[in-house]
Amino acid sequence: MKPIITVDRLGKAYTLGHTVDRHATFRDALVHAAKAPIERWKRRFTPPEKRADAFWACKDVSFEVNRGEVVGLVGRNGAGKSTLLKLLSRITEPSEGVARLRGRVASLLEVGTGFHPELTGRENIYMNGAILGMKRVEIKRKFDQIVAFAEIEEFLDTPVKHYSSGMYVRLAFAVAAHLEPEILIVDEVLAVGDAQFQKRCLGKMKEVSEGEGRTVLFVSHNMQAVSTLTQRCVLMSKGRMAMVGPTPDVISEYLRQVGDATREQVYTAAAVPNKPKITRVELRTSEPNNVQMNGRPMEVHIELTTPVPINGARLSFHACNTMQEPILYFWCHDTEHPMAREAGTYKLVCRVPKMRMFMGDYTLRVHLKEQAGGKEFEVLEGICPFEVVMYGRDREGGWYKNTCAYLEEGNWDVSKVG
Amino acid sequence: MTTFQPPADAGAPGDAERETVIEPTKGWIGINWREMLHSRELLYFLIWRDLKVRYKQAVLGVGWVVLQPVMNMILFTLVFGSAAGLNQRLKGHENQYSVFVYAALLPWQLFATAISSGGMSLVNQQNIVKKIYFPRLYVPTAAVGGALTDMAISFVIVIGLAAFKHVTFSPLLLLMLPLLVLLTLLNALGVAYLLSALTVKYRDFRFLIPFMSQVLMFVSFVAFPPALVGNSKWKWLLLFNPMYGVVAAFRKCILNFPDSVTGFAPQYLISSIVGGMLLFWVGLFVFRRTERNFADIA
Repeated sequence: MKPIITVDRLGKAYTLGHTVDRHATFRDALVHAAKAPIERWKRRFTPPEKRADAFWACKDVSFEVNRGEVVGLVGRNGAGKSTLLKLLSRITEPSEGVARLRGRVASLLEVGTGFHPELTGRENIYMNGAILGMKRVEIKRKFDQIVAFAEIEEFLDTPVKHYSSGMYVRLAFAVAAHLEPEILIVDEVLAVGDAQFQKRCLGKMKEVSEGEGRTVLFVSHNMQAVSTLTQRCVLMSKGRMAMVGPTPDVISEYLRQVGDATREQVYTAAAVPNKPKITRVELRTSEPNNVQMNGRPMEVHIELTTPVPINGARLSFHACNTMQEPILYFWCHDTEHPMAREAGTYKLVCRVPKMRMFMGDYTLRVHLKEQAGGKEFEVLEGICPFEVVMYGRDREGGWYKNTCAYLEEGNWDVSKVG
Repeated sequence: MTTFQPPADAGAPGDAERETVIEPTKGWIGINWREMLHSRELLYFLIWRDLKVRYKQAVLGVGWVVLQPVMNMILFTLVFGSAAGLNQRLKGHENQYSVFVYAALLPWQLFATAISSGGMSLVNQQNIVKKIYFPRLYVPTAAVGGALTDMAISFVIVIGLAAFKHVTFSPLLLLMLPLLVLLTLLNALGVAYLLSALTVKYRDFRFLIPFMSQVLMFVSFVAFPPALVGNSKWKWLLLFNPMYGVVAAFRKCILNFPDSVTGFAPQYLISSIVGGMLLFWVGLFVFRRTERNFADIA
């Protein structure tokens, strides 16, 4: 079967210098036309893509999407994702290339497009549905489902200008979610609404793709959503297509790109002549840029340098949350792993086979001490910041920060006993 | 729902397999009639919304549909008819100046709405145009369509007023009215398409439009009798105003006044038809040419 979406070298150019091209007023256009007619006509018939100052919001984008697939479109701000969606939903025309969409398309680039504040909820359902391409009979048939999903029964006949923003968003998403297109194009709709509602939207999108075999093209900065909804992703970077592939690979690459450069990934310090010192702490997370996937291996490499032998050295570290509460504790004592019994540099590696801390931001706190009751040489706090994410770990209902600190494996047995 | 079934009313068979090809277009862009037909309900919804919203939070509500032309009519009759004494130019119909004005307001109001609401329609709805694709031609069309309902109400009033003022109708001429309405629509749609597209590109039209509307009202002789022109050597210029012919023809058909009073002549009607068709196609052409970049320049 042919792919449902075929995109072939699609590109869109804009002209940056709008002083000449886009006349701010009709008068400018006239003045310019009088002044330099030849120049003007030459430019007039030069499309943006052929001009020297053309800016390519996206270029050379090619990919295919199969029927029933959910494909994520990720990238930093300004990478060209939204332009690409605008092209695919026919809001604006490409400058080059071709895209073929085989089936009914509905795009949801903004929640509540076409809502009129003066109209009631009921009236807006019909209006919005019509704008999204639904027929009246179709809307009528879905009406009750839409109202139930949006939970606005009581306010059906109230003008939406009196709605709370939450109600507004719920209603808007409900209408769009009940469209029955073969291809659904969605842009960052999950950025709005409360956590509870976001959960339901994600659930609905999953239902649409898995249960009903629709094709979804989905833009989001929420990697959790992308990882649970999609199997394949397109990564955009500076208007070009950087990568197409399985979601985990693309997310890794995306994290490498968006990585916080200010994050000190490796802690280093110079050795001092008179006392033992931790000279290097390196955190090796499962993903680039200090992002650790829950359930995947993590390593901590520590180097300590001492000018003198240490009596019963003890090195330990905590992983602390943002409140500086310790969540994990690892230690390495001279009694078990003899170390630093003479001057020199020692390397200690701690391997965690399955890192099970819950999603959130963490830092390390490292201690270097003598035997119990002895001297404390050094405490390093708040080093090697890292983030734990749950990408690829699916759970009905999704994940929320601060649910717990730690996620252990467990097996359930359920039986009827009475 | 476990299996996907296309909705029973998903349109023509093979609708699901319809391929949409997105690529740069060049030159003349035809109209996708199939698509227009497919989403014709949207036009209905757009008109319905405009009507619904227009008089919300107005105490008089729909009463304004009646009041606006009536107030215009009273004003024109008092100022031009009585004060300026122009009613003397209506030979034999001096006391029917009010109907004379009202009959002209019928097509004029539709045209004026096409210029003002139609011209601003795309700019006013750019939040939709920039966020979703649908046949955009329906936006100015809906603005004109909404004015058609006003015209229907005005028609009832003008017939009542004419009867009250002892106008002798000609049934044959009254039967010509639907054709004249179509002619008005042709002109109105043409100008709405043209202006809406131009306004998106050049916001100057926002300021130009009210002025254009005023000038056109004067040269269409809505508020005063065309007899004022007399036999001026500039009379031929009226041929370039398609609305002049429309207004004159409306007066002739509704009021059955002599041509010397209404200013009607066949060449003006022909100019309206030719001019209307030209305006319609030019408007459509400009609209379609600009449409591909609406979202970028709006």
